[in-house]
Amino acid sequence: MTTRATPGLDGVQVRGMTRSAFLLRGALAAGGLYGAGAVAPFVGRAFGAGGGGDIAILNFALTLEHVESDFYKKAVAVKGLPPELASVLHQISGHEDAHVQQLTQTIQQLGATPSPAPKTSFPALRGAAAVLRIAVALEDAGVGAYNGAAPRIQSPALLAAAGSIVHVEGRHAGALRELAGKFPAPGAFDKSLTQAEATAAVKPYVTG
Amino acid sequence: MPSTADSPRPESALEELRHDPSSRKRFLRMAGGGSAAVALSLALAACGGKKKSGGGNQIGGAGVGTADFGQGDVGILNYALTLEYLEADLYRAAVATGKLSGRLLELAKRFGAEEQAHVTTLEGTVRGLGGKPASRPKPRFALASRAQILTTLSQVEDVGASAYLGQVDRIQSKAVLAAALAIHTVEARHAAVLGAMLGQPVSPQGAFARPATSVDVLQQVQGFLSG
Repeated sequence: MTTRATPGLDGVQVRGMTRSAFLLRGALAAGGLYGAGAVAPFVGRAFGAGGGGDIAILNFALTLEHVESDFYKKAVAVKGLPPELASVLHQISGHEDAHVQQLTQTIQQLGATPSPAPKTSFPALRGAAAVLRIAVALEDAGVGAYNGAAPRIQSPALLAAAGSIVHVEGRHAGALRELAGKFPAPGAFDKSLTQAEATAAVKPYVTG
Repeated sequence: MPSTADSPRPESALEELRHDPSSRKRFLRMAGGGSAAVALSLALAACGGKKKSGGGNQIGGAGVGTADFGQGDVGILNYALTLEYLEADLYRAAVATGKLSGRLLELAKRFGAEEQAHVTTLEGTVRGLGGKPASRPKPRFALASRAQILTTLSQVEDVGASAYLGQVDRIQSKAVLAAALAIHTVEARHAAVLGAMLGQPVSPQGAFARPATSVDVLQQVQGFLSG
């Protein structure tokens, strides 16, 4: 195997992220793909191979999912939004709820305790622009968080599952940015985020 | 090496190739090249009738199908590059028809530029790994109307995004994986917006997207490549 540099990758960020976030997302997605009952065995193996803080990372991801889920519950209740936006928000809300549910089940199946839902607080969502501003920020951060963490996932099955979720995050982000009048992708390559950066992105909305 | 026998996907494409000679021939013809055919045949023969277990990378270096484009990550990258060539050419052709206007024209130009950036990066990455970039296909598209163009763009983006998803667990280099992921979500963004213009849901497959095998992907784009 060559060890030469790969100049084509120069424009692509490869950031270190905790693999915990990946495992979390992966486990969640795997449950969705193959059924919650099927996910436990290989998740357990992956955790055995990965050691240490995987549960903590799963719980970190669960926290992020809770923030997203809470946001969309509020967003779908906003009156007077354009029908297309309202429909998209409703769809995304369902996806985030599914992620939360699957993640919670996975953590429980691993014999751990899911983190309680954080207390969240969002600015007054008056009108489409206010809703879209936060939605786009949350989804772009979600894409970056997954993409940043995925290369540290060791189990191919969990990696595939993480890919399954980030794919959907990317669709959310693209659709919302288009509705916000932005280009769907900020650039040709999505930037990855560290866990600290992902945390910072949701911090304004977490109050406890 | 942990078994992933409870994950049904990695074996399926190989099974399909092994049991469906017409599918195998079609695949080899599309992928082109006798040496590639030999390589895939060897990979298939090596599998024999055994039930495969373990990761996709255990067969042909790069998993089912992409070994035909080269070994290991180079094969996966050249498979992706082939699809990016197709996408870049499609957007170029779509813009050149003069049948697009407004936001769709704007998006076609922008997305086309992003696909071209993917092409450039993947070519450089293949060379960086000591490989030779895949030969550029000469695709043909039927782009008679705005509706036909939009439908084709949407279809190709859906396939492309699913194709990347289908390879993420087969890539060995973490740097290559990071690059593939960075492209994958951009394709997903494109796919969602084009689908929305056709009245489709944000994520037609729901909260969890399904990966596509290279066999499935190549069959879906066959009509463009074999013209």
